[in-house]
Amino acid sequence: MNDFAAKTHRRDAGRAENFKNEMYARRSMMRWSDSLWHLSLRTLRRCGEIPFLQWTHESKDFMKEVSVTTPSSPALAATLRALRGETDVHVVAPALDNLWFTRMLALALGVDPIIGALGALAGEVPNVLPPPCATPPSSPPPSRP
Amino acid sequence: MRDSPILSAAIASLIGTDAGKRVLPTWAAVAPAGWGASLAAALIDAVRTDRCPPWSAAALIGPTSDTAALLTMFEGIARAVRRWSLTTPNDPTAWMDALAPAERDRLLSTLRTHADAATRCLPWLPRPLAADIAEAISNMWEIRNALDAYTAASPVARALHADILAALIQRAGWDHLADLTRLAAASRMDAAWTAVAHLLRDAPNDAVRVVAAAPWDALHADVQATILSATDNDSTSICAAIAFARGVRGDAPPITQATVRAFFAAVTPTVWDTLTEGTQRAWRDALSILDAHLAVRSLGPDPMFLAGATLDDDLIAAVHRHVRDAHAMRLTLFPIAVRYLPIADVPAIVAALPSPPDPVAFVQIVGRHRDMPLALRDWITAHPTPQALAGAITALRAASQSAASAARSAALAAAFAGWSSEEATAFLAALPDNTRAMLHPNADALASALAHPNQQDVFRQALAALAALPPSAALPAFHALDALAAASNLVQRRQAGEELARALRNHGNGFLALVDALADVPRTAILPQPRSAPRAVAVRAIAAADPLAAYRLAHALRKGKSDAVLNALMDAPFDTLTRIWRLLPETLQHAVLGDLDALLRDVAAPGRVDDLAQALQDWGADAPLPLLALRMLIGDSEERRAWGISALARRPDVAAALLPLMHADARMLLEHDVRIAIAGADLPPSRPSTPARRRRR
Repeated sequence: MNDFAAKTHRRDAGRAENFKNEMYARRSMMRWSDSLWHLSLRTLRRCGEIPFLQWTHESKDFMKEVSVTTPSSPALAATLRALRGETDVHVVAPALDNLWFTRMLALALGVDPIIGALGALAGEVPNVLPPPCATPPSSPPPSRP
Repeated sequence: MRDSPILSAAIASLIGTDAGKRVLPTWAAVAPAGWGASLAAALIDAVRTDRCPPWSAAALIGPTSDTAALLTMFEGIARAVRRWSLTTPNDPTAWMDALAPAERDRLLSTLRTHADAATRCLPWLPRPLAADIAEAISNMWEIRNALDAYTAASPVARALHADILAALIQRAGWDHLADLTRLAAASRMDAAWTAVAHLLRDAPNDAVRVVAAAPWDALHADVQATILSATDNDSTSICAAIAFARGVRGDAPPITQATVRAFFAAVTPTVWDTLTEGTQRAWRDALSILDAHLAVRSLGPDPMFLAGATLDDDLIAAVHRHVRDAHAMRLTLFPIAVRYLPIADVPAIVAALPSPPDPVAFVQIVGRHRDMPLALRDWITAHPTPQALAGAITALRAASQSAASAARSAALAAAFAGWSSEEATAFLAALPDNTRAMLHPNADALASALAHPNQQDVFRQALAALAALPPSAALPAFHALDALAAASNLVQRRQAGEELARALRNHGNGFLALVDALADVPRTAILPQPRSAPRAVAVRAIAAADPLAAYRLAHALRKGKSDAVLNALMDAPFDTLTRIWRLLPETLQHAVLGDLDALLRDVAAPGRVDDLAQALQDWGADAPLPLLALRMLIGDSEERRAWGISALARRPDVAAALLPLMHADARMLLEHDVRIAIAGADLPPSRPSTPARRRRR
């Protein structure tokens, strides 16, 4: 039993050391990169353009990969509509697939509160849920100055 | 907001959609208890179509035998149990009574055999099972999970497991100090604070974990005293940094990664304000992006800290300590969200935003500049429009090279569209030297890296001509040249070459002047010489008209691949198509068109295959265009089909001649274009065929 306890202790100590080393390694990486390590690969894939993660989006056709043909167009178009006051959830839905677009919708002023709340939820930042909405989603979008 | 019926209806309408898949997991963690009970059927369907994680559906619907049946993975069981129990804080195991005995036993027995998952929901398990699991905990991760779970649990749940929790606290080590601190701060348990103080006495350098986990004012007085009294026993100076930050010691400790973290976690605004500007900068510059939220927590949401922070729950909580108003909170955090947008989308999105209340802070945070040079501040103050800010932010992002170079070039082209050379020059002059050098590299450096040894002066002249072009072409072109100079392999060189060709798409002569003066290696990467002299001359002629088309064509000819040729043809100006087609070797032409008989069978009306073939032959020299258009029309790619329609629409006479011979499906597709619809207006209306017929090669 004592041997087992000692073995367990050594194993835990080893794991703790590994964890500490890993944390330091990650922290030093953050000096030149973004702090994305805590996100899951599923989430990272939603982040779109991140140079060191481009292997996750590798295309068979190199020529296609390097060309910039606005791959996020439907999401971008939906985001722009939301920024201009769009209130139809299903029109904005394509924007909810991109983590960064959703976080922007969650925080941008001028976005319909319900759309903003959906952005906060899809963007995994529920703590910024906007205040109670003043207008129902069926009302016309406010005109921009 | 979470109780808003409008939000509830909006989320309900997304169940079963891709957007719902993104929204529901987070909603499951914050939704009112039993929110999904009336939507159970839709949620369960969404689980079956992989549009909702099983645990999310179970959490939203609430504990029932049907929802328990969804939970087959141990991690999902733990999440669902945790969520169910958090909605009944006074009866932590109420979820068990809502399940059929068989399902309840299945969940418990699964958890019993997966300690990692079980520790995540330990406070909400029946006491005997929780005691067994806690006793069997064998590693630091499981202790961490359990401490975290008890931190989130209600006082009732903690009281019911008081002995289990006490044993866990006793087993916690130095690597659990942050978890213990959070538990102590949330539960106000003296035993937890005592354990923290005890561990700190043995390892004072771990005080950094304690002050990072909770604000100084939230720490127990004993813990504070332990840290401040350990300044002389701590070889890492972490306790000294905390004492300095609290104003207890006047001598500054050395600045290291650990002392910086400890300092910003504990510093008071008064102490910070007494530091000289140079000392403040030294501490601030050493602050890691992972710890920036600590500075915000201690000193408030200053743009210089937000510029180095990332948007996460820690930062949101830190800002919330200083900014209570929801409107101001969103205003504060918004620039950080903009910072993470794909650079290619920045120009369009920033230009669509209303002018920010503080444009300088906005650019500072989005551009991740902890220091804002005075000249740049002045320029932003003088140009506070969204379009100008979009240009500034795109330029700063491009200079930071945090995105793929092709995206950076495209973004620069979009952001500086409509700018005059004078405006761009004034903007570049306001940038710090290193940033400006990234956007407008030194001509001598480019010449020595890229030019042919005998063509250095010619290359410099070409660069001078490039600088005189509109900024929407010049800036991405310089950026591409910089990327070309920095490229270390063929793939990077080709990418840079494509960027250059794209940037100079409307400036073919400037493109050729640059390419002609390049050394062999970069020139081959941009415009590989075709092996036959006539083709080489023709490619140059096309480059003068459209560098990108020439780039694609030159590489397609080199590769000899039909797909690459199709891409090159799609990029080429329509009036050069016939010329490009004649450049192609016959074998490549055949490869591009594929099986002609199959193509005709696919697009011809029943019994009109021969007529269609004859009609195409009748076009003689123009034949490649309709043939290519038909080939694209039956392609799998939406982009190619659109190109095929567009190509035929440019020749309404060809379209009018071909339409009566074509299959109804193909006609319907073509008649979406108004020009083709008008050309075929006299024809009888097309009728769709049976769905069984495919327009695929």
